[in-house]
Parts: sequence; C-alpha cells; structure tokens
Amino acid sequence: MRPGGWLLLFLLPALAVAGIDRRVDPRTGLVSWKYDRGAFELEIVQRLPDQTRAFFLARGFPPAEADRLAVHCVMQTIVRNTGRSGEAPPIRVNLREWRIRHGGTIRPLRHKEAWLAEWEKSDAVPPPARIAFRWSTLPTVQVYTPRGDYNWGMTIYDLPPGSLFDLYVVWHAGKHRQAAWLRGIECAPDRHE
Amino acid sequence: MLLRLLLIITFVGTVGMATAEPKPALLTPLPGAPLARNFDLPDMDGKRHKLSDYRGRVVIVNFWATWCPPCRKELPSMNRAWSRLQKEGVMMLAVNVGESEDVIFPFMADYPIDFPVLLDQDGEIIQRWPVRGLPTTFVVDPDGRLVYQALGGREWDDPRLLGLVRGLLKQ
Repeated sequence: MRPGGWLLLFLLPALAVAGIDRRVDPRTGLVSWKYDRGAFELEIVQRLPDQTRAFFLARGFPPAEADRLAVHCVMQTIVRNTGRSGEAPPIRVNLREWRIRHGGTIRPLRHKEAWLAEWEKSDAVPPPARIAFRWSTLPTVQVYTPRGDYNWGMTIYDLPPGSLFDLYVVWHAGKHRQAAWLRGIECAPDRHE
Repeated sequence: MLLRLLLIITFVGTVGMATAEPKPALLTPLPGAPLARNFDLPDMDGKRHKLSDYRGRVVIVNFWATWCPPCRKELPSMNRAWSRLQKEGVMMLAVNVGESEDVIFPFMADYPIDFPVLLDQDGEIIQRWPVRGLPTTFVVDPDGRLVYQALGGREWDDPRLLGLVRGLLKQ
C-alpha cells in the first residue's frame, strides 16, 4: 500500500469518531443519531407520531392537542456530560441557541415554554397534563456537571412527519462555546402500527 | 517517519481506550450546600411527611415519574440501597411528580418501592426545588442542607456512592 493509503486508513476511524453515528433499531425501524465531542454527548431518537399521541393522551391531553403535538416531529433527546473527573468543565446547553435548517430556511426550535404559555392562555390542555408535558420535555436551559449528569426528554422540531432537516447544536464546555451541524436528521413517518 | 508516528499514536490511543474503564457516575456536590425547601406531602397511605420531620438525619429525596425510563431503571438499586441504609438511620423519600395513586399503585407491582412514596400531584414542590429533569435526587444532610445532587439515574447501591452518603452520617 502506498503511504497515502496508510494515512487514509489511520485517519478514517478518527473522522468517524468525530462525526455523527446513525443507527436503525432492527426491531422498531426507528432511527437514532449519536454525536459526541469532548465530554458533550447528544443522542436523538425518532418517536413515531403514534407513540407521542398515546403518551400524551394517557396523561390527560385532549385528543386534538395530543394529535397536534404528535405530528410536529417529536424526538427523544439525551444529553450527557461524559467528563470523568471533578475538574472537567460543566456543560451548559441552551436550546434557544439551536437552529433547524429545512426547506431553505434556518429557524429556532419552538420550546416548551412557548407551548405552555399557549395552553395557559387557551386552557386547551388541563393543568395535570401540562405537568406531564413540562417534565417529559428536555429543559430549555440546563447545566450538566461531570461525573455522570445526564438528562433526557422530548424535543419538538415543528416539522411534518417524514421531514428531513439539519440541526445546529450549540453547547458550552466551561467558557468555550462549541457548535456543530448535524446533517440529515429525519422526522419519523406517521405510520400506524 | 510520519507513518511511524501515526502508528505509535494509534497504538497508544487504542490501548488507552481499552484500559480506561468507564466509572459509574457518582454524586455532584452542591456549591454552598443551600438549605432544602421544606415540604409537606402525603404518601400512598395518606400519611403526611414534612422534610423537617427528618431533621438530624440524612435524607435522600428522589423526584420521579412512572413514565420516565431512567427513573424506572434506578428504582431497583434505590430499593437495595434502602435495605442497607435504613438500618443506619438514613431516610429515603420518592416524590412522584404529577401522577395519582391509581397510576402509581399498579406500577409498584412491577417496580416495588419499600420506602415512602410521596405525591406531588400538582407539581408545586418540584417547582420550588432546583430540579431541571427527571429523575433528580438530592442528598440532604442532618442540618437540612442540600449537599449532593444526582441528575439522571444512578446505581444507588454502588459502594462508593453509599460511602458518600455514609460520610454525612459521621459528621
């Protein structure tokens, strides 16, 4: 093998580690994406609209509102600080800094506070159901300390089922702002099981 | 020369990855150990529990819900920790957020919880505590101060984690 070939062989695994790891669950067919850089680890997992619909219906959402949420591209999201020592920096995530690129436009996510404010005004969702929504969605701002902090929750991308989009993620490791474009994220299709 | 260097870096990196065992997560100390907000909540039998009732003891306060997968995952280890710590005077309280007895009772057939389960049905208490997600667990020292926090699930019967809790007993 030529020297250039060896170089490529050694560099390829490094590039794969730095990139996003896309997996398909062989049992459910649902897709997940895992990204890590430094101590920041992010995992996004598709949720079928039916899963989301059933979850919120079981927690007191009126059918119309559960259905509305279900077709807004809801993903399960896990954020973790994988720093092992106490000296590793905390990781701060503010979802207000994240962006969605879809159909030629870039826009922010619609956060839980916006949904809750709307329901507060319209009274379309009863208060106990709003509690379930508040605690099952990922906090908009959160600091993850090293040695094991993680959180999970749903994030809502405000896109029709089956949409393909790029996600711009931002996190702060101590004082350092870091960001990455995660390309080719797919909202689950609205298939009924 | 460059190739040799790359080979060495790759070898060292691979060995490093293979030998660095991921350590189970422990507890995060809370800076300044703020005083825990008191609460007065009913348990599954209607008995009321105030946090202040347990002043002088170490108290582990866990916020959870039945629909939260990491909460379910950590419950068995919490129960095992309870079987050990109960004898040493540590109190454990599982504060359920936003659910009724009708939901929690059948859930406990699959996930037994031997320590008191308190009901924060309207989510008022969790809003007053520094909780950002479920599960979150706090360790309160005998003076009523929030000493440690665990955001996300833990293996509560990990000897090193139990050691941190026991360390508060000795003070």
